[in-house]
Amino acid sequence: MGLRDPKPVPAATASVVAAHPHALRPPIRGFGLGLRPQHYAAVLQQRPPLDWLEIISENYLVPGGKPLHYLDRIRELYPMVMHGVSMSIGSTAPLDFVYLGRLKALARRVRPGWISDHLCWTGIGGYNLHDLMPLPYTGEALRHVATRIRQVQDFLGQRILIENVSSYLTWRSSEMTEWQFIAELAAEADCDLLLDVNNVYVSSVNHGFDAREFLDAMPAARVRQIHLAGHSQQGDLLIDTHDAPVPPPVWDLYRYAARRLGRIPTMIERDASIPALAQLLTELQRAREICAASAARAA
Amino acid sequence: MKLAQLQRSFQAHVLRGDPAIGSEVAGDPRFAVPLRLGVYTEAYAARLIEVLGESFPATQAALGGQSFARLAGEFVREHPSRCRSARDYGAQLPRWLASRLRGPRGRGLGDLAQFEWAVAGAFDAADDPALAHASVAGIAPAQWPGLRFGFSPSLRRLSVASNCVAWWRFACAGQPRPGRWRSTRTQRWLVWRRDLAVFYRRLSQSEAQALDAAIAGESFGYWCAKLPTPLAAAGMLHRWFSDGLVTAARLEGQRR
Repeated sequence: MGLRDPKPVPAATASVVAAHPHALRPPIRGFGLGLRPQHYAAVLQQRPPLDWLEIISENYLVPGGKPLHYLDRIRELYPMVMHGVSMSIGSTAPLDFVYLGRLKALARRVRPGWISDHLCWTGIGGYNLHDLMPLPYTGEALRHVATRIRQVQDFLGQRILIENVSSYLTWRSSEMTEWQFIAELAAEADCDLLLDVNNVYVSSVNHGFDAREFLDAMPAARVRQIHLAGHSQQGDLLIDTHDAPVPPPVWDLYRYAARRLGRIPTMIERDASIPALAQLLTELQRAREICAASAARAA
Repeated sequence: MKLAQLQRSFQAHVLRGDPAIGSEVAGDPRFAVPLRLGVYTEAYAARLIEVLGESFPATQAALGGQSFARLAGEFVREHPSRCRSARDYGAQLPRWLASRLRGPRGRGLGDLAQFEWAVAGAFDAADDPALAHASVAGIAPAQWPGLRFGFSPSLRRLSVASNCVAWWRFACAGQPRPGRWRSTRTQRWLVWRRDLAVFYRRLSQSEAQALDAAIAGESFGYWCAKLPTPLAAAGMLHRWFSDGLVTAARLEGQRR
């Protein structure tokens, strides 16, 4: 933050915003990164070889200032997708159409390839737990979430992507597996999927299921994006912290996913202990190589 | 258990430690139910304590990391989040700190947190280009008393009664550590953003009164009459323009 004592500065002039080159939604292919404020300057100066960037929608649902300033400049250089953390699509509280309206306005500004959020709930009764809370995998929850996804898609005027979350508990009331729930939900809601391979791995360890069985159940035609990330360990539980490089078991699972699903747009998510951009680009290069080799083998 | 009831019960556990939800969680030999639930309760508190540290870095530095974490944890327990965005969490912290700690230190830390909250608010307030002083140069003298001004949406006015700004400069601007917390006479401060940089400066009592009146929509003639001389008003206005505070000027009967 550039905080300093005041000094005389030239009067500001009205900014001129260039017409956006991606007037329509751009095609998203290849490999990207999650755009983080720590990398704004490096992205603008170095123009790194990225096919696209993912933004956290909530970081730009602000009236003005630095976030929107950089967003407008960087979106002229890279196609973007929008990823949210607070739609609370699984909550039994009413959908927040004020939030959805702001999301829609941001989408008009960004023209993202798509909009995504998580299969979870974040609070009810006006409270917000600021976390991706797990749903029971029941028929009731499935119908509830599918209805809400359809409402959101109607409001936004586009299909959205729903991401599987890492979870740390299983509800006794669950009537099906997570992967059965997701596959049925995607069909019922007619939505697309964001497959977080790290989340699959974390949950597979925490709940003791076969991560490949999860991937095998994903409807390939609906998987539009893949997230890769690192995690941490709390005792024997794995926690989805996004604060470390992608670890070997997640690379292995990604290799399997690439063989099964093909060349799905893939990115690395890093939200804490954020390294220099060059380090993330090196990590992303590994994803490119794994995907190329795996997809070729599958073909 | 129905979905709505499950969510109410789980939320009650995270916010208040209500144990009822435990019977809904599948246990297994590897991980006991309290361990699994604990991931969520700990993450909720840790996330909000982290957010408070990001919004109040100088308060954290002045208190020390451990004291800040302990107090922030207390605050989080007493103030369940109702904010859609975590970055909006913490508005009540300045007042809470002042009453929780009391004395010059409590007052000072409350003031410091108030100062930081103003800075955070200015940071991503709406953009509104500053108006050049020259834009009002052609207005006839007879029309000046009816002139009203609009101000940057980032502008924050605050009053403190401590040496909190010295503590802020210690934590955020590399200046020497103040010896101790001191109560002072009321100080009036102004925080605002111009382009991407956030600024702050101290106001005299008369400038603060004039600015508050101008922000409230009073005319130049109204607040000018409360100053010792018209020259003082002209000087203040010149400063407001050069600081980039003024974003609109309109005459009596003119639409915004």
